[in-house]
Amino acid sequence: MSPPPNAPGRPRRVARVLLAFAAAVLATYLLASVLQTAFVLLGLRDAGARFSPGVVLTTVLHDLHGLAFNALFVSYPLLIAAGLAVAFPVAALLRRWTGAGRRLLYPLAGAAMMGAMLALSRVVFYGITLYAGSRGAWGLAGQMLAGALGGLAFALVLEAAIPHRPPAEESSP
Amino acid sequence: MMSRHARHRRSLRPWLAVAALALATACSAADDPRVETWVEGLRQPYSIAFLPGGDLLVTEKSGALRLVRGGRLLAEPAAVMADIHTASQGGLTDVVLHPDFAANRLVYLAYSGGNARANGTRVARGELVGDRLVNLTEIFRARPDKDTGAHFGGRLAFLPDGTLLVTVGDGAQYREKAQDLTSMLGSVIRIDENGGVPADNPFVGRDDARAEIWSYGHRNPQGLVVDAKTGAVYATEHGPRGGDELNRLEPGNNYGWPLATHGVDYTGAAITPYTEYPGTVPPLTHWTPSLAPSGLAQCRGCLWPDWEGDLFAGMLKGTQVQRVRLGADGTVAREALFEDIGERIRDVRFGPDGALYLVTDNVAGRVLRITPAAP
Repeated sequence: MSPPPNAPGRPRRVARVLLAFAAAVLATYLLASVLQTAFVLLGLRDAGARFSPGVVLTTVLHDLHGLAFNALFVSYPLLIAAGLAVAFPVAALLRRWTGAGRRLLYPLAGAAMMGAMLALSRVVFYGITLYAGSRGAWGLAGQMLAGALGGLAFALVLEAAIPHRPPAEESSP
Repeated sequence: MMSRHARHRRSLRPWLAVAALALATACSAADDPRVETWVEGLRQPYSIAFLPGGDLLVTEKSGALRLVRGGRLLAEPAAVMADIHTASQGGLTDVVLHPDFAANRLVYLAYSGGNARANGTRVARGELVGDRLVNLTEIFRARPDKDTGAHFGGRLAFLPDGTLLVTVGDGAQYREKAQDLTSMLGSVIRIDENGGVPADNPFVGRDDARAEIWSYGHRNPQGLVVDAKTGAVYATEHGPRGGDELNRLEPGNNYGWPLATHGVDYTGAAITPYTEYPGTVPPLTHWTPSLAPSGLAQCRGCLWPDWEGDLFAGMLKGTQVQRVRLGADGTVAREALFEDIGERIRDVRFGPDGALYLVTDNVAGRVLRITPAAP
């Protein structure tokens, strides 16, 4: 089947998918990092520590840099990128089979990926949660919310770049 | 024009240089301590205790207590812990003798017990009869149980008053519990010889604290020694990524974890924004980046007069021993020793003979005996 006359060429489609993917990773990472910091500081507050707004801001910035560039095992944005690189194609397949909308499936895929990845890390590390801010139900929910935001970003950027058509008629994610 | 004497001096220079080098090498060799394998054939040894008469007890991570008699490792363990939890960092971590061992033959063991869902640091006591530890009974269990396989602490030391200190780690997942006095995680415990709570423990009588806690705010203390001369208590603990600490412990003190640390999380995130925090006691010194301190010993009347009073911390990741000298003015000097051994050092002890004994952390582990170079 030949593409519609006004459809973007394959290289441009690939570029737009990559752009959407980069936006998804960035959105997921930014929210995940901020929430990780927030939950760690909340835990310290419950343990008796007190923080000025300046200290909170400094810690947020420290973690945004540290989680990306100072990790012992693997950089968090790279881990997120690897996870989303698996989750989004699965979501695209589900979209073909179910006809569900991008704005539903990609956020679900992002959230599920973050939840599964963090749960798996706890099994690998003898019951220890790798990212301290994801300990507990609310901490994990926060990281899954970040994954959902990344999925939504992916869907929105794709929609802005690629006109919406029924899933069965298109080859875009 | 060069004189004859000058020519002679010049021709001698190479030989003088060679002689000086040989002398320096000889002096250096003479200064090098003698390192010998004292015990081998051990599987992941963790700690040692010297018995009167020169025999040795050795703990293995698997839960076996081994006996070295007459310089020979006995094939049959003196005891095997029944309810030990050895996953990840768990195991039979320490052995100490009762201060009146010669009369009562009592031996105390620290270990991680339980299972993956509910485990923790425990202390058992047994009686050494012949080459067997009998009547082995649990006398202490850290509360609450945890569901992680890390940060057990698990070191023991008797205080001069006959009470027993037990280090308990924070369980890694529950680091904030180190600040919670209703939890024993991340604390140093003080019990009597039967496991009871001494009446003069710092938090006795408080409804919001466990009476067993002696000090708190610890991460994973795996080195503990009581100064035989002064009674001062020193402990080393693992930091996260950086922030390994040497602390001088005093009852009731808060040592800060996780409110303050010089380390960061393995993920690169902050543990806390603070390296010091009001109301907490800063370390005497910290190792950043981490060397991973395990056993801790102090030279009191050891074979090296120059080392009198110095502390010696075995390093796992750092594969060395750190000699630490505490100055009266609060200064701290550190020196790396025995790096050429090239093995992870799990425990450090001075023997009754004044020699330094190192336990290497290997599947095929050894006990090394180190003595000064021959005069």
